[in-house]
Amino acid sequence: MTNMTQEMTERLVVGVVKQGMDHSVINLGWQTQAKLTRLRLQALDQLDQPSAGFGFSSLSRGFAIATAVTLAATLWVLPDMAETRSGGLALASDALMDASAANLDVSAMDVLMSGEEMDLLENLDMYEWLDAEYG
Amino acid sequence: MRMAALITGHNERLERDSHKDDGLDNTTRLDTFLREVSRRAFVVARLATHDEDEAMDIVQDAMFKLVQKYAGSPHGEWGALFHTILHSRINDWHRRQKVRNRWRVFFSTNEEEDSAPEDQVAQTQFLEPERQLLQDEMSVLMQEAVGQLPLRQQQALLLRAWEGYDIAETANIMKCSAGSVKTHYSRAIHSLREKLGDH
Repeated sequence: MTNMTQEMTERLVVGVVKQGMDHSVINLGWQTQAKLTRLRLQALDQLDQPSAGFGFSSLSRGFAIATAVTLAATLWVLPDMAETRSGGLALASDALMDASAANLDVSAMDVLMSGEEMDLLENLDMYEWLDAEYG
Repeated sequence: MRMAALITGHNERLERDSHKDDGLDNTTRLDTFLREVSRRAFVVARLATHDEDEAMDIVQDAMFKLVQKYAGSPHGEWGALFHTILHSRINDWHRRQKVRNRWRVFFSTNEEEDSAPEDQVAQTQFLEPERQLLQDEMSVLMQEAVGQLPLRQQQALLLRAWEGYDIAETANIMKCSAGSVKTHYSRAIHSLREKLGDH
């Protein structure tokens, strides 16, 4: 009889523990859930990264070095060629740069001035999390 | 007879459901596993540490370690492996806290002793905002009661009662004997019964 009472008490306590713990999982705030989602994705990113030292074959490593050297040489030579080629073109491109910079300023101001856009930016974390979870 | 058929049908359904994701690749399966387990792990770590940031760090460590070391293990073993890592991290954290507290007491100044008591307990108030949202009074009381249990009792209780591991599995995860698990679990149940009994 005592054993039966103990069993019933245990079942009751276990039921309350399960209910309470499930409740606290369901009631986690979205910020906490967003953090957990970010950490989960970061952890899974490790699967995509090759382990250091063994990821590249010697052939692809050589190819990467050759590409880097070519790129560096191109960047070294290119500015001199550009300078000698066009004096007049420079003026036109300056004008274009000014116009595009002005456009950027205007769109930045638009974002800053409209309240809705700012709300969107402030809640960007939440939207990112929603996208990652339910995307 | 009819009952037996019902049970058999239920078992077959469970069997089918457990193989439903057999076509998934390992990354998707691991993602689903971590999605389900991370929230529960966070709640467990938060109860053990009484600190949301520390709990988040512990869960991060556990997820990273599982992916790094055991992503290639059979997915049926991930649960036990993850909880072994999680509880090992929680134990490490408690050990570090004990050492830190010892040094803190040793070096504590009179100024610290004079500080207001509410400043000293501020760190343990992490549940306050969430508590306001919880409508179920019993759940809140239960969380407090579980949070006050000694760590090993807390672990035995949550692994057995909430995660559903049997005594042998719990002993493996906690790295102790089956007898110790039984003792911790029974003490936890007894303690909770006394605390929750009045309600």
